[in-house]
Amino acid sequence: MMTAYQSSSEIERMSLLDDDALMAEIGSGNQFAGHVFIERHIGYVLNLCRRKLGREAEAEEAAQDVFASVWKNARHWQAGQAKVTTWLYRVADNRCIDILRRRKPDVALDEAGDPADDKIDIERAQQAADQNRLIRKALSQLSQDQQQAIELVYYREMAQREAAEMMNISLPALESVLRRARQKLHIELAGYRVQLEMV
Amino acid sequence: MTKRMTSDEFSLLVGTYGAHPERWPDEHRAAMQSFLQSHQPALATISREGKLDEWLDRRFNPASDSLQARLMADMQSQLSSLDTNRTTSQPVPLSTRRTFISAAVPLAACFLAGIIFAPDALDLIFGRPDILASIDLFADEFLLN
Repeated sequence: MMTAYQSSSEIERMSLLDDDALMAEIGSGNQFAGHVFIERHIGYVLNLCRRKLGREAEAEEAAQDVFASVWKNARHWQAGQAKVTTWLYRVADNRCIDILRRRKPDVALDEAGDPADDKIDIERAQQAADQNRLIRKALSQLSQDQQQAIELVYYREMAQREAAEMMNISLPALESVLRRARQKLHIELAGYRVQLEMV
Repeated sequence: MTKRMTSDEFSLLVGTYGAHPERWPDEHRAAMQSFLQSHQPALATISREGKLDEWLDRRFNPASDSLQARLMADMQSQLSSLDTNRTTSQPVPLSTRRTFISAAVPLAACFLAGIIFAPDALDLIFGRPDILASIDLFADEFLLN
């Protein structure tokens, strides 16, 4: 039985591996590698499925199926043949087409997606995933209260007073936390301007 | 009548809430919008904070807790069966092989020594070198018949 410390250090070790090495570990049954793989790619896969399907429940169903394919095929993965994210994109795309067809059985395959745009779409999806990673990394550099303030006011669009109440602080204190958070984000993201402005 | 706003107040509020008026505090929104219309340099502040808002929007909405739990459960059940398969087909561990080799080598050495030294030993015991020749003859007879 592994202790919590051993588990976390094993997860840390796995998170240093690139996608190909992680697939090899998954193929040999390493659950820590599976854990890291989910954390690394869930945003990318779910975002793709959300974009293609537009319905949260269906997007979740598709994402679950995509990861089931990963567990099933990891043993046969050959490093260097394709990027893992490109393969994930194709699996997600096919699964979304199946779901769209189920929704409306008479949809022709070429109406569901134009294969000519596939390459551009894959690049865009990977770019979006990279940008997502940069933002998450910058947010993780904030203190706990700064992260919470940004989450509540920015991402959950909560009213300032409500957010302050939830954090158990005064409104001026919330404003100060938010201001410092944004200043820090400017600093953290300054070096990634080029990547972040790609659309 | 809307309260007049100073440049510092404006910068402070935009630096706190970002460039989108819908996030500005209700009590300051009108004053901020009117300040923005009448002060060209305020646009630079809006543009700078607007960029940060845009970048923050690049974060994907996180997966729900229930989806994450389902994915983890699927992964654990699938990979644990993979791990079991691997155990049954994996090569013999090095320690087992070492034990086997350490037992087999002396056994083989004893066998070889027996073959080499057996005639001498028999000769020593019986003191009669012709006994082997007799056994040999007897064996030949037995095999030929």
